[in-house]
Amino acid sequence: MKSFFLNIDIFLCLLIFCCLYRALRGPTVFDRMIAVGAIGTKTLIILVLIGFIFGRVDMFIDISIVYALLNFLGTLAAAKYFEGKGEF
Amino acid sequence: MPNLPDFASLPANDIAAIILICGGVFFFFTATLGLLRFPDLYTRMHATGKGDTLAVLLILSGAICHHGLNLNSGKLLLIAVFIFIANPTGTHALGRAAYRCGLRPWSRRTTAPGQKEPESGRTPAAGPGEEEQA
Repeated sequence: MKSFFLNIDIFLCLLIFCCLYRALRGPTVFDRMIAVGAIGTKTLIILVLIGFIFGRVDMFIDISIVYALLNFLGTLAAAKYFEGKGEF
Repeated sequence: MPNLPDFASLPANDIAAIILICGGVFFFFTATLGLLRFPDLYTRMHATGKGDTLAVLLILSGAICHHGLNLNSGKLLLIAVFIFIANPTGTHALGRAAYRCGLRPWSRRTTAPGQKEPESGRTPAAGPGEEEQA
């Protein structure tokens, strides 16, 4: 199962690089924001699976919870900021 | 993948975990494909907002199947419920902010992609081409 989780992690890293293309090149700032949000979601899954690989699930799940909270708060704060700014 | 164990010799919860995680990775792949290929912001948001949520739910369900029921699988369930609430909320906030900033939704006839709201009703057919022609 460890090699299966490792393969899934490598594939998710490739998907993160695909999302990074949209985050760097996206025409509006909201495109960059949804790309960064998608990268954060994939990173959360990668953290959980790395916990299974290393056998330290208890520690990595806590890091993953904090990552989910920070990702959500960052998205909300950026949405409020750019809505008040009124341009894209 | 040469060093995977034999599929039939695995216990039943690991087989369920493999199936659920592969489904989740498939939905991650389709969400990323939509993020790269769709023509404007709202359609990309449609792809990632739903695909990522479903993929996270599937992969964390697979992780719970692999791990068994204890405190850590409770935490995994907590992450799944939180993502199920928070990811559509964040997508909705970004979409509302973009709409209030005046970003018009993409349409094949009237609006060039990524253009501001025009003064009159109709816009010229050829907008500033900062998008690839999907």
